[in-house]
Amino acid sequence: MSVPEEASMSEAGAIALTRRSLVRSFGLGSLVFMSGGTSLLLTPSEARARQVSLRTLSALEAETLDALGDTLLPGAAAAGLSHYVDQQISGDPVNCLLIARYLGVSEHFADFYRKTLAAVDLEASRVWGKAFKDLSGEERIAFIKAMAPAPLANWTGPLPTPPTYLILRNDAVDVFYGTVEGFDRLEIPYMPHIEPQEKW
Amino acid sequence: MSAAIEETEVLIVGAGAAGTLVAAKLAEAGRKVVVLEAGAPWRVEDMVSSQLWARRLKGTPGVTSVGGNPVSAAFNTGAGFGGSAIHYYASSIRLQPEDFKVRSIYGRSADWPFDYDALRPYYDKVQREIGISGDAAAEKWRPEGEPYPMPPLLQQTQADVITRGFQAKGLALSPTPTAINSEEYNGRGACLYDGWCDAGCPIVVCLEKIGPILERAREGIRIGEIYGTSAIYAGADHREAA
Repeated sequence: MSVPEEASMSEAGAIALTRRSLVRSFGLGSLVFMSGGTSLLLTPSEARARQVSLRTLSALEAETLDALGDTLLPGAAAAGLSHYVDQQISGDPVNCLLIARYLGVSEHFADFYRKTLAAVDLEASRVWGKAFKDLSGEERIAFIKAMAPAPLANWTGPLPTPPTYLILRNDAVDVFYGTVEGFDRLEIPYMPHIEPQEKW
Repeated sequence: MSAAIEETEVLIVGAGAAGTLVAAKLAEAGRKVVVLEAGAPWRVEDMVSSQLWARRLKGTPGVTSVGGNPVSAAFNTGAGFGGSAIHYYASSIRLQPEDFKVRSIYGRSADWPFDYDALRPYYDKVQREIGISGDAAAEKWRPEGEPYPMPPLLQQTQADVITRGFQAKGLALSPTPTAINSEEYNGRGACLYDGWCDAGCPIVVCLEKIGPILERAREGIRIGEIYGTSAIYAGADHREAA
């Protein structure tokens, strides 16, 4: 992700983007999204509400990811899960904030998510004859419960299902709870040394 | 960059804990030093208190471990100025004398080319310089050396629970020696116990004090950029290099 030293923006919701403001904004979850050729500093939920175009994920992939996220943590989709992941896998991996980085996923992050989401739909089709997004609530929960404890035998994703579950769940938790506002939801004092600029 | 290298006396590759400390010492001694670093030029003001932001300090995306025993250690590594010392938890435990002779004693790996006694003065020197909090007397297993310059950090609730369990079994415990200030030391304040170590410590009570060490010597150091490694080969016996 290339960050201009000074890049003023006039569109509502955007702020003057400097390296410093960008760094601080990450703390609360504001990220740089591209909309109509303009860089906007938005939270993932704001990007979702504005229907900012996805850069890497297809609409189907985003829908599948949001369905997974809402199954793992209700509210994750509205918090902007698919926009968060799409923004993170579309830039320079050196700047990535995803738990996949923390856990040392060696595959290119975009490839990892695409292959994982394809594997989710393949497994859902094998078991229930339909894509994950079309599963009922009970079927989705059954799918998630099957992923977590042990590797699924026919799974085709790049990682076995237990670490895949861990990564997807953490993404949902990150976008919902990993910010100052998320700490407020948990009633945990944030107590920052360097406080991010805005709250989600 | 090329001009800087031509003029330098010492070229150090990697601005992690070892590289920055050596660079600082050489520069303070009047040597011309160039440090090459492929990662970000982190400074303490970049240590934003956020678990999400903190992940940018960790691992080196794009560097893959390959070979017979590939390893994954992203969470406790780091690229850029300060390396993993920017976000590590500062545990500073001395090796035991037998750790230097694992081949001779246990038939594993390799012996070090020197023993603990040779290294001991440097353990003492480093702990005086960077500051380590601990209780040497409580470490019944600790090899010979100067006591720690600061008392141990306050013990937290989970440690109280663990301590009671160990005591019930008649087992000894000690505070972990930690390169975090338990009190003001060398002009740096004491830890506030608010838990942002993992995101880097902008009040530099932790070993992000490597930053200040280098800051002292920055006038004598030039920071260059290099392209990073793309693969680390971990062979079957963990001894093969790329």
